[in-house]
Amino acid sequence: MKYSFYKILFFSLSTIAMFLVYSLLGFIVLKGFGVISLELIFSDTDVVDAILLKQRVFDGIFPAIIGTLMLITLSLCFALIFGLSSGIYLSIYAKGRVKSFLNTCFELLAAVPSIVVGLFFLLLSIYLHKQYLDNFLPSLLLSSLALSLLILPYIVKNTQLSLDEIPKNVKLLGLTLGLNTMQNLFYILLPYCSKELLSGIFLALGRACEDTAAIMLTGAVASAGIASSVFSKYEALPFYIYYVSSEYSDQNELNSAFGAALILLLIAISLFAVTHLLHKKIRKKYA
Amino acid sequence: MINRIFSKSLLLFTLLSSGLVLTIFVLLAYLCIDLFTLSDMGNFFSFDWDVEKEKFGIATMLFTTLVVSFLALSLAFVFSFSISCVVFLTKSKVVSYFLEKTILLMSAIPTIIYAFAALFTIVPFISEYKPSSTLSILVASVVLSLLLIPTMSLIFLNIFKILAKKYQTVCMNLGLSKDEFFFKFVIKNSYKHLTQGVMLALSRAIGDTMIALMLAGNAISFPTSVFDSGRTLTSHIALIFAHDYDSMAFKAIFLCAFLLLSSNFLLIFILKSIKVK
Repeated sequence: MKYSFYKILFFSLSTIAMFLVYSLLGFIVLKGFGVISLELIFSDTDVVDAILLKQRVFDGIFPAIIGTLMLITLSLCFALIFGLSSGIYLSIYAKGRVKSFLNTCFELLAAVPSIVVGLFFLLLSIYLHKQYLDNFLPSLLLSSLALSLLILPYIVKNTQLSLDEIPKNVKLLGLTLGLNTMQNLFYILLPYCSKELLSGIFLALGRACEDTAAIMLTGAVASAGIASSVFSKYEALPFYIYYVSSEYSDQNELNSAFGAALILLLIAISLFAVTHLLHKKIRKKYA
Repeated sequence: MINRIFSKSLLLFTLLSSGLVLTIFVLLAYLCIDLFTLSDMGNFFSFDWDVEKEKFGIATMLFTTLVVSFLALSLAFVFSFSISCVVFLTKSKVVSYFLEKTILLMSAIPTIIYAFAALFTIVPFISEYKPSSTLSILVASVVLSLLLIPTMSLIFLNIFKILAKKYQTVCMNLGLSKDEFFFKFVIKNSYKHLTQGVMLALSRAIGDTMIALMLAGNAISFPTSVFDSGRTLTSHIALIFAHDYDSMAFKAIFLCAFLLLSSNFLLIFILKSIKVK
């Protein structure tokens, strides 16, 4: 009884927080659900033609959706090469001081604000453009490099943790049967923790699809159509939402932004749900 | 032989990716190092930003960043502390399940969604009570606090659960009720982890761009109340137009980025030192 005052206080504060979150989410879902349709995405272009890239979609948000998908796939490719190798190195080969130094580096990397990463890549492109490469301007490639730097720490940490968590008997099994470290890694350890690695990839994809600050400095624009190469500018869902919210002229444009927001929300939540399901399976495996 | 090549190439990739963070830091420090002369310092840390008059003071943005993150942090602390307490103390499984799943869900929501929705819900709501204010520091802090809730409450809940697993049976056997166990034992023994959660959330609050950019209004003048519009360091970087990176305006941007980066690094180092003890 003594603490019932605190309990009531905590309960009401949590209710306020939940109310805020769900009213914001509910607003987007309600508004977006009303306007979402094939016309919103493809405008008056033929759907099949648009998907096969035969015709350009002008008013719809199809280019933004494709732009986001291209962006996260490309950035995942870059992040995977570096992230997996760093994670494997940190877990299996690194020892002592080198290991703690590298770990600190990745912790710091995780703390770099996304706008600073964007600024860094903008500077890089200005410098390279001036000095060496004439067509190295803000583009899809630059944005995906920036994003891959942002999601890199997640993949490194996840790879390292999942390799570390493998039981010792499994780790030693291959070695005692005469495999060398590399064979052991590829034939036993990596297949053993494949689900963990996959869940890390989905987590990273979720992070990549939501980031706006880094891509707005490195090449996302309001209307460019579908990027024809990695060196061209592109559209992306989060940037489209930001752009419309600051300069919309009529209700139609605003409605399409609500639709875009709902689609982005669905993409983010479904990526997260996959991560969550994989985690559940992993917990069962170790239980 | 292949083994050695493999491990060496892994090392190369690791060094490349971990070296990037140092590269960013050194590059930004290098770009604004010639600003650290006494006469320029006064210029950059003044409260006026006026490109035409060649005044590039970023102190206002620094101040706004501090205010927004402090407000958001205190709100988020209150919210996430109460959420984790309710999850821990409640007897109803539905409530704790709902709250825990909501926290997880919140960690997946894109920040731009929060900002975009708040633009059409919270902003009109506040301007109804205070017609003079539309986009303001207050709105940005409230929405930013929602972003920080999952970061903090996941850490809080984690430590509460660990302590309960270790000591709850013992304390119950000594005759404490669950409430007494929580208020007298768990809270007192989780100070360090609470601080860790707050630090981590602070570094997110300082680094966030989109919420401050879309909701705080981006006015350059010095804010006098929370209902005023303000511009944070991050949105100041996001709003650059110049592409001539020798200009003074661009150098002030580097200084902003450098300040952001070093404050976040400082927070991480403090966090690590707490862990070691």
